[in-house]
Amino acid sequence: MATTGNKSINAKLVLLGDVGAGKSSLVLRFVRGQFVEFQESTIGAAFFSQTLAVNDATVKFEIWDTAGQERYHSLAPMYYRGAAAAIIVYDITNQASFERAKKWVQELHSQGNPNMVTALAGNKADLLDARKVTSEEAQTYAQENGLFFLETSAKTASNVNDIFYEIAKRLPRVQPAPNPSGMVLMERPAERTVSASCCS
Amino acid sequence: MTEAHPQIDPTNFDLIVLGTGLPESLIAAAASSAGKSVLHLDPNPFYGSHFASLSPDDLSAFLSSSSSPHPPSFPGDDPATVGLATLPLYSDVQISSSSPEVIEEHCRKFSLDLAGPKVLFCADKAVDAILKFGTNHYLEFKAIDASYICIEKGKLMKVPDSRSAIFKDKNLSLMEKNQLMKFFKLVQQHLDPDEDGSAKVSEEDLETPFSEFLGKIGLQQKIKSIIMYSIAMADQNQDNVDISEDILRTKDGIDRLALFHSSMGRFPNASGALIYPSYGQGELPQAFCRRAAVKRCLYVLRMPVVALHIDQDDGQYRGIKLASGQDLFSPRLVLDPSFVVPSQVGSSVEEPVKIRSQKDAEAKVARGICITRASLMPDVSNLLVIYPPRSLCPEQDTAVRVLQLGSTSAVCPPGMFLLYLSAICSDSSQGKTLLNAAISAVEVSQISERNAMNKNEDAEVEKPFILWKATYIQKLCMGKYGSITSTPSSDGNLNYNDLMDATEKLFHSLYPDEAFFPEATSPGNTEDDDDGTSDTVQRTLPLRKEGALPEILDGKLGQAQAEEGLAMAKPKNLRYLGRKASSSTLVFTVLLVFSFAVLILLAIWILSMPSGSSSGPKVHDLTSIVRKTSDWTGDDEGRSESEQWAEVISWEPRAIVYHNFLSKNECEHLIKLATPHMRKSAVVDSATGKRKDSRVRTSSGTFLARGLDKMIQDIEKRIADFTFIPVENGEGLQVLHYEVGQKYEPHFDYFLDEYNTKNGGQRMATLLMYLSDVEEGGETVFPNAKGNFSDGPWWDELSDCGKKGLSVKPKRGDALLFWSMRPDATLDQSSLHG
Repeated sequence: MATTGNKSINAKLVLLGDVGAGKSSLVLRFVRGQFVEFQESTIGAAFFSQTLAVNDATVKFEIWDTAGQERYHSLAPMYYRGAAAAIIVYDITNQASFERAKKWVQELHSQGNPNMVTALAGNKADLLDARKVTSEEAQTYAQENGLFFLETSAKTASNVNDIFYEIAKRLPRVQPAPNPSGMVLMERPAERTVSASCCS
Repeated sequence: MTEAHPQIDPTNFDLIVLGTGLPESLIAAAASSAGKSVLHLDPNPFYGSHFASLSPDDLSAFLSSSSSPHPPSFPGDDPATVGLATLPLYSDVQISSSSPEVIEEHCRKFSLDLAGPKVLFCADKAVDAILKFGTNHYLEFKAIDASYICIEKGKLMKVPDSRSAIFKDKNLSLMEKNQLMKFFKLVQQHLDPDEDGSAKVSEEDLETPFSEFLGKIGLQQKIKSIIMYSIAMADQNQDNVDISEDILRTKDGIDRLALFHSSMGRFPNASGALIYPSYGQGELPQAFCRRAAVKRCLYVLRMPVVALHIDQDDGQYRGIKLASGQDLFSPRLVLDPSFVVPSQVGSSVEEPVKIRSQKDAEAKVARGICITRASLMPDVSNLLVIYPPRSLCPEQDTAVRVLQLGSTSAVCPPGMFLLYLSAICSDSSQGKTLLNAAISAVEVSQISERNAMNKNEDAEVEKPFILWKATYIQKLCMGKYGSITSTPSSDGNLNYNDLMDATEKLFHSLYPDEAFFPEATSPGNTEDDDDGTSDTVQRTLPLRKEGALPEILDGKLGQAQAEEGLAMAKPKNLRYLGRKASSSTLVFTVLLVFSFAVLILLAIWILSMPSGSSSGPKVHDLTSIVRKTSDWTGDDEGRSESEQWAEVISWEPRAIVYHNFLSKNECEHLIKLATPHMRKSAVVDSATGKRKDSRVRTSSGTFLARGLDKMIQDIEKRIADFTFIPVENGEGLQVLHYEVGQKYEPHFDYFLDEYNTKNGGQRMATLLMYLSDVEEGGETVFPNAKGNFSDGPWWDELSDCGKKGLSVKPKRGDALLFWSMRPDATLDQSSLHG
């Protein structure tokens, strides 16, 4: 559902990955600049928006978190619909989470839009001592599957902004619109216009 | 990634819900919002149960599996564990395809509604629920562009549903148009009587059959049909009292007209009253399930329940046994209508939750789905057609509704259309007859429309119009509340209103003390809700304090050096971050407003000032300030870098800029203190004195308590010294953050109302401190200021907006003092600023 116009792009971004890989932590670090060591597995907020400026456009990400529905593999098709980008997250200290990430890539290929910009994030990169998945292995897998790969740490904020900036850069500037987007219901639709004023 | 029956943790819940249809999903969302721990299960691999939208293959498979009974698969030797059986909801399922290869090719692009035809009226209860649960973020809708009614056999006319539609209509005579106009006016006057209610429909008339009332006020049969079937959406023949057990009363008829008319124009993009969710009706249960998940409801698809645990003493439900063998427990259970509540359960009698207009349990609804290769009407893809009773055949006793949707609703590939049909019937053969009659009628009118449009193209006629067809009969089940709660099945109505009412009643039976709708402060502003439990959190990156950006830059450099193997940590990325920092227009300002207990005191204070200053330890003269300035320079190196000086920029209003009033460290300290507490700025309501949100002010901000820490105490002291107003008279520091486009439109800081002046007296002056630099804009403007402000040296640097009056451009560390009162204690109109 990336829509372009006047260099501003709205893009739905979905997070996928095993429980505990750090999906929510990654978003919270990006959106709020926060990190909680023991983040509850299902967080209250499951829908964020964050605007980024890249060189030729302003990208407004609508970030969808799984709301815990991935726990028993029960994500709704609605989750994937119209997503322009996805981040598949695994935990570098957990080989099983990397194997599950590969499954999520397959799932995305069957459910999502084929032009989706997909990133693979090896999270918890601060825990180097406990590393189980080498960055070479993940890099090779990412290249073979047309993903781009970064190792991130929501704890130290390393590469967190980068992965979102890189997605923003890679988003197609002109999106083919197979389905003209529908309307979103708002309680007071007429009042949602933002007046541009420079005054404080 | 299928995993055969995972173990579920925990094993005890407040509520277990089986089935993910719309009523079950609503109950799960409402219960989760009320803080209940909910487990939501579905044996199917998809969301929506009997309300799902599926591909043709999946729909066929689901209909055939749900049209035969499933006896309990669990061996019944233990009286405390009773096998759970299902009953068939569907019968007479017939599916045929004239072009299987075309359907096969596009199979995944279809979303066929099991419970169609259904639409939402813009003002109906389902739309209200979508807004109240905040699920509007997950859904998109398409307008139904037009509705048609079959009045003469085989001929469709556009429904004249608004004044302009009546005016433009070509099928109605002038007299008929007049009648319809007069009737709409009558209904409107009845609904909101402006004077004396003289035009109100009498109480007696409200209880009479609607059809009788329409006849009484002199409407012709044609107009009556249009009103009853295509606007009030009546099902049964309203003119045959013997057959129709379900006659619409005038009261209900008027309510339905009111719903229709309040739906028109509620949302700017919907031309008519009706909307349809993109990707199909199956999106609605998914949206409510997601909402429930956000509120910690646990979701497990593909998980059959094989048995129920029953307490042997009192026969009450205790828990469920999953296909995995795991046992889970909850005090309450909700089942979708296809599950049979075992007779062993419950001493309490099940109470059906009856909604007035719901048909009796014997009634059925015949449903049909067709995939076609052309639209019924040229140039319109989403449309509704009503065949009122007797318009298809003399035996027709109920209205048949046909909904066509095109690829713009994302339910089928381009170039194809979906037709949904439904009719209430008492037996399946009657239902099938009606559906087939309607399908033939639709084909006939499609061919005649096409021939009228394109007389030459005969080649197209050879191809079949209908590519794929399914017809089936669905049982109507009412919701039941007992030891185990059963939800209602989808009904024969065009919208979900009755279903919503029934679901709300069930929820209140389950949880009498809980509200069905979550207590949303203001659904339109959920972005501003920052308590972490809100579903939506909206933030834009520039909100990050400026100091954080260099940190990120540093971190990135380190990262790039440390992990050379990572191709993505390119230093090139720095450019974007750097650019972001410079191009974002960030202004942090600190507002300090002085107030006085009562207005009178002001005069006394001014009068007594000279004596105070001469006898008190602090001598408020220029030398004192100079001395203090040098003191600070001694203990804070940050400030010593820049020179401090004061500049009078205007006398009307009295405004002074203190350059380099704050040090770099102090600015950053204030930003750091305030950043975690930022929330959307409010304005003070002059009637109640309370905070309220306003479009006049779009910044975010927070108040810092007076004397919060040493540095703030220092700043407050300095302010007191510069302004000659004691610290005690100041309000707390308010840190505000304006982003690009954010603003506070010109306003006065002083109060004009009683409430606020009682609170702490009149505001006298304001000191604005700028905490960050900006590239462009962000000025404070005094549009009412007097004087030749355009000859100031900074004029050329100002943005267009800033040229509207006397402007001050933000520079970090500078402070702007302006007085809302003249020296004689009258309010200064020229202090208007923004």
